[in-house]
Amino acid sequence: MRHIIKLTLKEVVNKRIIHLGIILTLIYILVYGTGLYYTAKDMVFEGENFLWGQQIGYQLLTMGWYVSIFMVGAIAVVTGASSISQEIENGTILGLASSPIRRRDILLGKFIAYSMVTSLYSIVMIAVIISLNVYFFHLMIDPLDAAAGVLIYTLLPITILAFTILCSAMLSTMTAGISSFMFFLVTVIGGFVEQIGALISNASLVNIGIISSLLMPTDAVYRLALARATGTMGHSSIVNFGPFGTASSPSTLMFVYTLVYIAVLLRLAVYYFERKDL
Amino acid sequence: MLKTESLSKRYDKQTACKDICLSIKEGQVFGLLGPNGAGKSTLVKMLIGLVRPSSGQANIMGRAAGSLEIRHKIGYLPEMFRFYDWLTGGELLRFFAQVYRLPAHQEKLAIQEVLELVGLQGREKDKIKNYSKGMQQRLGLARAVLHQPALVFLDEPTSALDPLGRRDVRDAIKRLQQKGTTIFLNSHLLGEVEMTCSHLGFIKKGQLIAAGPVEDFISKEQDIIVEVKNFDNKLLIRWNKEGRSVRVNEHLLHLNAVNREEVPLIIREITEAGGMIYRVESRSRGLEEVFVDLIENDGAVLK
Repeated sequence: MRHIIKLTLKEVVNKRIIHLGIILTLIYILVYGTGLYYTAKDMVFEGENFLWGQQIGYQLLTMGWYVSIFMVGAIAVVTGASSISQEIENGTILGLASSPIRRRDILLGKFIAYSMVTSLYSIVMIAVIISLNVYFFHLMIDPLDAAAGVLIYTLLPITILAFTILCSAMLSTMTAGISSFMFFLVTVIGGFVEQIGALISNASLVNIGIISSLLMPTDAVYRLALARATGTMGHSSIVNFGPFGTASSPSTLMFVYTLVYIAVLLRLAVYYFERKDL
Repeated sequence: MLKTESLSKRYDKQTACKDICLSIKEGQVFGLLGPNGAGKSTLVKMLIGLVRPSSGQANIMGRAAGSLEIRHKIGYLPEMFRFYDWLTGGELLRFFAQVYRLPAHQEKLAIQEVLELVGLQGREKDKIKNYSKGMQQRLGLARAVLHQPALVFLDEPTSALDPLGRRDVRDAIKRLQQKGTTIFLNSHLLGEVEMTCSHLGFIKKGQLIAAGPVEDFISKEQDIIVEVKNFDNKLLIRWNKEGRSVRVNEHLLHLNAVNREEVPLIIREITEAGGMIYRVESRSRGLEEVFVDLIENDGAVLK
């Protein structure tokens, strides 16, 4: 499996779409950071204005973080969708699958390598977003809480990857990519609906969000990570009572569910790939 | 070395291979011939473990074909070899040397050997995307034999190559054969197979319709042309009655589909009947005629 991990990491370094993704992410960070700079430029963070600054900071933090889930999701879908199906379509899989490497190891090796890359991408991205907000708005975020939140957040690309790789083992590259991203968007809107439901105390809306999180727990991972990173100050922030926040925060059981979800999807992906005629 | 028993593959209502029973011994160069879509690639893929058989079984070296243990001992060149084109040829071979667990001290030597075998020495530092199709195919052959497998499957190895490239691959196959490697060659290039193989199999609509040593197909019958004067036409009438394909054009007598053993008898009959022979030309039936006969006429002439 380590041969596949090494090869896949090298492949990622050579993928133009990843280069483009990194450049666009840097542009995003630049625009976001510039926005933060001009927002904080004339603000006073002392005395009675302190809480006001914290509120603005949390709002911008959750907005920045929320937008990042689309970028992380896109990177995970792009890498995962082509992982198996594209290799079948262009014939490169024949060289690998005819050699003494188990198909299970091919699939899991790719999954691990892509997970490493997308997790690193998520960590760097969210660490920069938090750091910019802490710098400009003097946000009271405990570094350990932030680190724990960022680590939980790495489950987001890993979850999407597990789903996309399952699709890639069963479908064509295009179909796997589109269906994975659409499914991801469904869970995003499900999370949105859940937060609004929590805000207006509507159980039906909350249940819609919970069901969508069971289908793909990416939104739950985002809110778990955000809640963990922002700690108690985040919970007290009025900003968190909105679609980007954690008005309806998932339980830690959801964390366990996410791990089981990933394991089951990978098992299914291996099952299909091992039985596939190449 | 390789044995299949009633090996079949069905895709929904379509049968790709049906009840294939085949046996290949060590050191043979076996050529599988058949028209496009006959099931050649499917059969090879079943033997390698890339396609799951619907029924029947295949054994290689006494073990189940496609198992991890067997994949260590076989090599495979797909019809159009493709691999990550951002790698260099050398990187690709190093990757597979590690996959096949070649000892570190043998790795460099083994890579040099196979690069020489396929004529790519000096190009190992070039990226694969800068290789021509023919070079990629030869690189695929190098990768297939890097670990010195006992059995190599070559699926249309020369289809993407120009005549010189084909010659290089033919030479490489001959060198492998000299080393004792058993070769399973899939091809529809008849001349290629005729020059390379010791044994042949013909597949049609997924069924193996004939198999055996090359001599059984090529040298069994031949066409002969005899330049003769004073030919006795009674012989012609008799031969025609016997169902022999024969015609006379001035002093040239054309006899088709003659068994090798019959040639001296025919010559004796002509001379005993007073004919004076100036020249005898013999031409074996080419594989093309055998192929067309088997595929289009179900082997009517051979029968």
